Amino acid sequence: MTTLSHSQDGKRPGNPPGRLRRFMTEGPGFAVLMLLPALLVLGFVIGLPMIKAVILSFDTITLRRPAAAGTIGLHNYSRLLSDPDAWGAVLRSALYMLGTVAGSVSLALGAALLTHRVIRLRALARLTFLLPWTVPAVVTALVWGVMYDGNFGVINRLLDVVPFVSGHDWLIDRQTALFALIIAQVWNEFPVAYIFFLAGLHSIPEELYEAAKIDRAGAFAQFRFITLPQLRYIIAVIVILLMILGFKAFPIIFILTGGGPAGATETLTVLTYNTAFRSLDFSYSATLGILAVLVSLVLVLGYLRVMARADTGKGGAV
Amino acid sequence: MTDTVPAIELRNISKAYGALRVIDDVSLRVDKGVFITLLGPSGCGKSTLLRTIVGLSQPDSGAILVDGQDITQAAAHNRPVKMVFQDYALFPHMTVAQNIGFGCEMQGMSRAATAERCRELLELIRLPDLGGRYPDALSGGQRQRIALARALAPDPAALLLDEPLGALDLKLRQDMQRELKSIQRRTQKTFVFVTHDQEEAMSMSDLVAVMNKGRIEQLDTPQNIYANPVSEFVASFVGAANLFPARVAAVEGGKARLEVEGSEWVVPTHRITSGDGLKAGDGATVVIRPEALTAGASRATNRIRLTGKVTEQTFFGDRVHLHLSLASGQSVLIDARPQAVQAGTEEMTVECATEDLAVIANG
Repeated sequence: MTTLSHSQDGKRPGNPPGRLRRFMTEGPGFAVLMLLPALLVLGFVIGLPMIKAVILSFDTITLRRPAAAGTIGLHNYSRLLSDPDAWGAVLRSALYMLGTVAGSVSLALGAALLTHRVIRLRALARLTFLLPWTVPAVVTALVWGVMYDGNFGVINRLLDVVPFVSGHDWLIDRQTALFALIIAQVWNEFPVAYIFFLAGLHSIPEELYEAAKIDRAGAFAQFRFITLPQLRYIIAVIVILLMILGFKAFPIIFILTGGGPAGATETLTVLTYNTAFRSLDFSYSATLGILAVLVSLVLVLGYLRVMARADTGKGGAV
Repeated sequence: MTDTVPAIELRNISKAYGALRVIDDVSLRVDKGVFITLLGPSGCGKSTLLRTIVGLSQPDSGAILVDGQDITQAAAHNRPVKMVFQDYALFPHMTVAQNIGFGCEMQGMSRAATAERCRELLELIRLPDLGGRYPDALSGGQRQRIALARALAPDPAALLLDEPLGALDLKLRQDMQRELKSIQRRTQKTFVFVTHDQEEAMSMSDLVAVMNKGRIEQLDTPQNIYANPVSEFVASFVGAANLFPARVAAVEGGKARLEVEGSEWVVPTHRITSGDGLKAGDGATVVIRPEALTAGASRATNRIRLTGKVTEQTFFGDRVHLHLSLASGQSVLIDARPQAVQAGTEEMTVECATEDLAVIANG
C-alpha cells in the first residue's frame, strides 16, 4: 500500500507556512502583489509630486523674495479662504465645467441619435463626429483663436450675413470670453461622450422600440420612455467624466486667453499656473493645486459611486 | 347572424429582401376568436408575415385587412393589432403596472382608467399582486404573462404572438401553452401564434398554417394536417412519417392501384390528399405514420404489409421505436407498444390499414 507522507502539522516540508501561503495566493496579499508594479509607478509619478506639493503649501517659496523662504504653517490656507481671486476662479471653473458638460452631452447625444441608425456612409458619419477628438487641444485652441478673431475670423464673417447682428471680439469681451472658450472645449471633447452614447444606443434592444411603436409611442415618447431611461447610467458616467475633464481643463483656456480679459476666464487651473509661473509664488500655487485636487477627488468619488451602482445592478441598463 | 367579416385577411402578400423572396403570394383568412398558428422551420417567413401584419415590415405587394379595414399602408401605431415578442420586450425600467399601462397611456386613456385596466389584466393572467415589481424580479413565465397582458391592454382586434414560449423550459412551456389557450378562450380574441414547434402548434390551435419557403403549404385543423398532409414537406415536418415513392398503375372504382416497393397496394381514392386526383402513370408518395404500422400480419383485407429486418430499437417507456430495413433498402420507423415487440426480434412483418395512409400526388 502506498502512503503519502506529510509532516504532522499538515505542512509540506520546504513550503511557506499555510497561513502566509493562503494570504499570498487567496487573500488580499495576492491582490497587493499583482497591483504592486502599478502602485510603484503611480506612487512615483503622482504620489511623490503630491506629497511635495503638500509640503510646499506649508512653506513660503516665492522667487520674488527668495530670502523670505521658510515654513509658514497654515498661512497659505488661511490666505486661500479669504482670497476673492481664488473663489472667483473656483466659480469660473464651475461655470466652465457646467457649460462644457451641458454642451458636450447635448451635442454628443444628438450626434449619436442621428448616426446610430445610419447604414450608408456609416463610417464617414461617425468619423465626422470623432474627428475633433483626434485634434490636440493646442491645435484646437489655435484654430478657434483664428475663428474668433474680431477682424478676419470666420465667425464674424458668417455673422455678417445675419441682419442686425454685428461682429464681435469674442475673446476680448468679458461678457463673451468664457462662453467662447466653452464652445471650443465642447468641440474638442464631445466625441468622448459621443462614443459612449453610440455604444449605449446600440445596446438597447430594437424590440423595445418596436413594442413602443406598436403601443402608439411617437419619436419623442420613444426617446423619453425608452432611450433616456436606458441610457441613464451611461449619462451619469459621462456627466461625471466630463465634469472632471471640464474642471481640470487648461490648454484651450491658457492658449486662447491666458485667463483674461481681466481675469474673466481665469479658472482654478489657470490661476494655479499663473500664480506659479507669472507671480512666481510656488507655495500659494501649491495650495491652489491642493484645492483643485480636493474638488477633483469629490468628482472622482461620485464617478466611483456610479460605477459601483452599475456593478451591483442598480444603475440600470448599460 | 354569423359575423362573416374575418378578423384578419391577407390577400396575396409578398415580401422580398433583395433576391430572397421571404413571403411568396400568401393569402389567409382568419375568423374572429380563432387561435391560428403559423408553423414552419426557421427562415420559412412566418415571423416576417407576423411583422408585416403588425406593421413593423411593409409588404412589397398584396393587402392586409383587419376587421374588413385595409391597413396595408397604415403605420404600426395605427393598426388595431398588438404583438407579443419572443423576448417579451418588457421595458426594464418600468414596473409591471407601468408596462401594462403603457399602451393605454399612449392612447390617451386617463390614469384612473389605465390603472383599472391594469388591475383587470393582472387578474386575468392571475398575477394580481405583481403590479409594483420590475421585470428583472420576475420568472420567465411571469414575464411572458406580463407581455401578454401588455399586448391585451389596449383591447386589440387581434393578438400576434412571435414564438413567445421559445425561451421557456419544457415544463413551463407546457404550463404556458394551457394558460395561453385558456386566456384566448376567456378573452375571445383572435390569436395568431408563430412557432416552429409542431407539438405546440397541434396542442393549442384551432387552425394551423404550415409554411415553407414563404408559402402556406397547408391550412387546416391540426387533426387534418396530421392525418391528411397535402405535401411531403407537411407530412415530414408535422410528426414523423414514412414516405414511400409510388407510381399509379390504375385508378378505377374508387380505388387506386399503386406500385410501391415492388408490390401493388390498393388504396381508396379518398386517401389521395392532394392535387386533382391521380391517373395511371402519375408519380405519388405514400405517407404512413409510424403509429399506423402494427406488428404482425392479420388476415384482414384493406391492409398493406411490409417485411424487413429490425436494425434499431429505442425504448421510451410507454413506447418503443423500431427501425425496419426493407429489402429495397428503405428504412421504416414503427412506433409500437413495448408489449407488441418480442425480445430478440430480428425480422418482422408490419401492416397498415389503407384507410390510415395518405397518398400525395407528386409535382
